[in-house]
Amino acid sequence: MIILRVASFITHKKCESLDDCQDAIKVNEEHSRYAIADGVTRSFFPKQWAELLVNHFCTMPDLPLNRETWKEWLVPIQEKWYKQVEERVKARNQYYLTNSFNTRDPAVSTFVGLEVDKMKRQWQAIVVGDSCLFHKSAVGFKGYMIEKSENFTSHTQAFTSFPEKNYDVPDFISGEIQSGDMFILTTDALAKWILEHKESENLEEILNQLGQIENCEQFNQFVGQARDDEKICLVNDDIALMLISVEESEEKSASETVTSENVEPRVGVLEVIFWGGLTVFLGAWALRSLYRFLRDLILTLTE
Amino acid sequence: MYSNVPIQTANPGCIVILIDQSWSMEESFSDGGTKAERATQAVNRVIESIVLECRSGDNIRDRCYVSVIGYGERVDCLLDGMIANIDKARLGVKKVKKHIPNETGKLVEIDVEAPIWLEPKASNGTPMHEAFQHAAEIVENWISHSPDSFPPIVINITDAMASDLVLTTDNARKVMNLKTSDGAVLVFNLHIANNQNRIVLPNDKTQLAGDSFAEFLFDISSPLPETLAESAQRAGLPSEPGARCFAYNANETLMIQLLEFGSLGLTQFRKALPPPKD
Repeated sequence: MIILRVASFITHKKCESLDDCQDAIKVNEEHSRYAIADGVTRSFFPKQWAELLVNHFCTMPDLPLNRETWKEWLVPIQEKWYKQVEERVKARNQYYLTNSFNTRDPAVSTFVGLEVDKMKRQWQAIVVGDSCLFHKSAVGFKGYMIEKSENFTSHTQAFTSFPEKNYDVPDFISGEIQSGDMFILTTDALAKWILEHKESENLEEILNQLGQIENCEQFNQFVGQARDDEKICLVNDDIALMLISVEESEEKSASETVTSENVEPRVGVLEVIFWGGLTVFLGAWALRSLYRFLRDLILTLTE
Repeated sequence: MYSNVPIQTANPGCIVILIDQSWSMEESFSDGGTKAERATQAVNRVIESIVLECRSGDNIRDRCYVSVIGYGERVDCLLDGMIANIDKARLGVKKVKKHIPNETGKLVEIDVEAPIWLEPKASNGTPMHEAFQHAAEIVENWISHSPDSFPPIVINITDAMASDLVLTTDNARKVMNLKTSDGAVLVFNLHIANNQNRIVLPNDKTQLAGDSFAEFLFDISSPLPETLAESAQRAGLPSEPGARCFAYNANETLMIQLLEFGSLGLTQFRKALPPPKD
């Protein structure tokens, strides 16, 4: 049996806040599903659309990961998005919202969704636009669906929030996994930056750096340094990053996914261990105190 | 240079629009209304487009600085500030009809609200030199605070000869010579007229057939940087090397096209909506 160790992080453009961040990220450990989305800034309520996409992918019971049903798969969240936006537009009553709403301006978002079957040691994914899935294995380092940094342009394919405006067909891909493999799901700015390093034959160092990030502080530090790098500069954009390491479980029956989701407030693995341990300790202490109190009470009453 | 960096809160853009409000703008133009009315409408429309570009969810973020200077009877700074404040300075909204395809693709008529920031005005002479002087001050101030931003863009909409050619040339060149670390300020001149002999992004004075006013505007228009030629092409404005940011005898459609290209096409966002496919 294999286990998956997951770390996910999200951050916003320089001088903006997390409220302005149009990227979304979601992990579902139970179903071994992982998703990121990048809402297109100039579209209409892209953040809401990106979040609906990742949540829908990770939580729905059966995935229609094929060319025939993907449009139907979007319909329930297109309806949800419409209702959410309608409420906000009515509440604000601003021309720049009502006009876009009345003219059916869509929300637009790129998307990567990955599902891993730990028993069969297989994976399948759906990708649309310039958010990328990278798979590092014994065979090499493979990028889906962009493999060269020069292929990032100012236009991207995407899922849109109106059925009649979904022009782009997503790619459906699948493969096998082995212990030691790694998946990286990331939005365009970081995906381009990773490919630029690969083209400069500096990939291993970069993957090591990414693999060592454990918490929000380290991630933000990494992003800040990459944005200031004069040689290969990380574009100032929202960034979602998910790292999934495939490991062999020591006990054959064990199945474990460790998540370090770095959405603010962000919690790292060590913090999880610390707070978990503290909770167990305090719980045990409270139970012991309660036991002693009841024991003393009974003794007092019986005397 | 002209790295086409996105306009972001961390890196706001600066757009200055000069609008001729001299008496000649009273002349009828296009399919209806006067030059003053059509030019004002176009500027209102482009400000709305900038607001939409700076929208984040249901808020407007300060990703752009906008200044509008009117010149005619007086030289007035009609609007000046970051876009969120500009949005609040609108005079009102006007209901207009628009035809859009519904979910089944059928065209339906709906009401939309057209925001208004400027009212048309047309009187007296053409103190273009003062408008450029004012623009120089705004741009200088901007560059001192944002030395690494995309170079400010100055767009002049006019229909007539400036009152003082020498001073106008001096002041326009002063603006053109101002620079950020990303390149020199871009000065666009949009000359509007009912004449059918339209000249768009010329790269050679011989194309102007000896028209001295056209040559004057050619001289005070920035060369279109080669790195931005692709953006022009995408906006439906093909250009030759050495093209100037200049249109002569523009009709209303061309005026709007160049105004939108100058203000938004150059400093485009990282991603545009995916183009519709048949």
